[in-house]
Amino acid sequence: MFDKVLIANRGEIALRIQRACRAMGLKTVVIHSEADRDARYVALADEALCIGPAPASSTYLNVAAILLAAEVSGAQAIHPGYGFLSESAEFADRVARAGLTFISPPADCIRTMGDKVAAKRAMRMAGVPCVPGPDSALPDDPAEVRAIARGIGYPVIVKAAGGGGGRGMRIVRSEGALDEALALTRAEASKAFKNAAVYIEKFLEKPRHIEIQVLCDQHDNHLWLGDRDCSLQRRNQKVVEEAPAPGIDRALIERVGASCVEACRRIGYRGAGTFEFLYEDGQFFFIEMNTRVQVEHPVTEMTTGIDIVKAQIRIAQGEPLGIAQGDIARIGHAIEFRINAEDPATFAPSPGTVTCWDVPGGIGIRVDSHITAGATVPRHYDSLIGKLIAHGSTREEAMARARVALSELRAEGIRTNVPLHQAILADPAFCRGGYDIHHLEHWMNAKVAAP
Amino acid sequence: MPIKLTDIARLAQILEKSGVDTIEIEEPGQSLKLVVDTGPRMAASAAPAAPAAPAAPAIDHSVIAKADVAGHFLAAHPWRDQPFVAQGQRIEAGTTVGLVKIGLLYAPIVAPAAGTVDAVIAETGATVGYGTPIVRIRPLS
Repeated sequence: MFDKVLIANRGEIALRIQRACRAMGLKTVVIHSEADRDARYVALADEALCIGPAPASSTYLNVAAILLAAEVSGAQAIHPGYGFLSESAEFADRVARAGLTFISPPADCIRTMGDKVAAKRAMRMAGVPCVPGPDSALPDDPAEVRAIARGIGYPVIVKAAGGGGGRGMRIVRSEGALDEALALTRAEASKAFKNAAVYIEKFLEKPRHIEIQVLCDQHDNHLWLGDRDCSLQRRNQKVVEEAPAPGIDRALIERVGASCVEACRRIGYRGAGTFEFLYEDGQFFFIEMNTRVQVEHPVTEMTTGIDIVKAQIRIAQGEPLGIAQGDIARIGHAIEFRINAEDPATFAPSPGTVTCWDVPGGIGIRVDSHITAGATVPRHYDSLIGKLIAHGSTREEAMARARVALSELRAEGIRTNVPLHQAILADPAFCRGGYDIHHLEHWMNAKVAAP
Repeated sequence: MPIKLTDIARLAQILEKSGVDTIEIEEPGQSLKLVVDTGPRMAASAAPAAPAAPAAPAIDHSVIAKADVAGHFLAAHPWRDQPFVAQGQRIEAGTTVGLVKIGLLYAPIVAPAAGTVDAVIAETGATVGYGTPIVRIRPLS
């Protein structure tokens, strides 16, 4: 059993993991780049090791440097957080070969879920509802592909098996455009993902993005912790997330959650994970599984009272979860607002020194952020500087608390997207709930057209 | 009522005249922070130009040999008693000035320039990281 954890990440999630470790009495080692040297969470760690210059390729993505840092510090476990190396099966293998515990699902689960086609096949076998379309790579013969597409019905979407996050996909609305879309996606896929395999699925016009959080230990306990609605997106980046998803039949979500748990059991899943679905016209369609902790995990923590990062660590230590599905309460409603250092209108990154940082508080408000007054937001990484989470007994109460909290939040020296969040909270469609994944972009375009 | 541009211009003038460099106004729903760079103007208005003694700033020309990997610093090779370098020693660019121990590995720290060793800054056994200063060198002038 380990008692010293190396945190192979930066920013708010590095602090989040550090807090969980310290509350569990575990020692922490933070690795960091030169650009993050003066961050407060680096000073708070039991040990901090600067492993390279600012670029992520030299530091947070540098497997050799991270493993050497574990050796130097005597850490016996590594938590990868999200992004960077968190879903690299290769990294998981290297960590295991170094004799260290990886606080993550096993490498083979990461590998299966990283291949869209293999993931879909595994899900279909477990009874998880999937988007109509074959769970195998497409044949080379265009005539065969045309027959498959006709079977699914247009519009369809052509996707690279190794893609993700909105990259490597193309919508096809009629048979005439199919051949060209196939050729382009194949060429892109082999170049960008080194995997020329492509597949096709039914294209959904106005879906919502709904996801299910799971936790599985090494003692055959598989739990799901409820659902999240992450439909408010811009260019496939989530902006606001909430739990639970408003306006969806709870009995249906219970069935979907149970099927996710069944899938975990079949693939021998361990750790925390998220099943992502598209939801349209009362139906769920699996899109992908994320084998890591998500940025939006706090909304589930607020509604269930379960510390997901602590659970990840306990699972890696070989401890049983100690709770049963029936014990999991889901209380009230939680909404998370991602606070980014960016221009609220143009979305251009706004790195720099934060000269003033006053965070809100009070009942139902949680702020997860690594920022302090005087902190630097480096230009080298993504612009997330914190998350404001509002919890209430109802969605209305959570929104009311969020409005007050956002008005109290004060950040100077950099620009933030707080004004965007305030405008979102004044949007009647957001306040009604149940918006689709295109809503934010349509709403913003409409605002620009008629200010 | 929203703050108007003309208000801001007037405020800025007042600040400039009074020599105050910052003002913050907060009202419900809006806040304004004005920072005026009064420095140069103040200097210009200081009529009797003081015959400023040209205080020659002590420019530090020294170069620093830094660690480029995280580990434990060793001033001497583990089989020897003598440290790699001592204060006052003449060294060439590329001279090994210490080692970083990473488990069973030893990585050299090398002098970036020729010169005289001014000081060995790091302590033997200390945990160092990328960029940690190890040895200060006064380059040959």
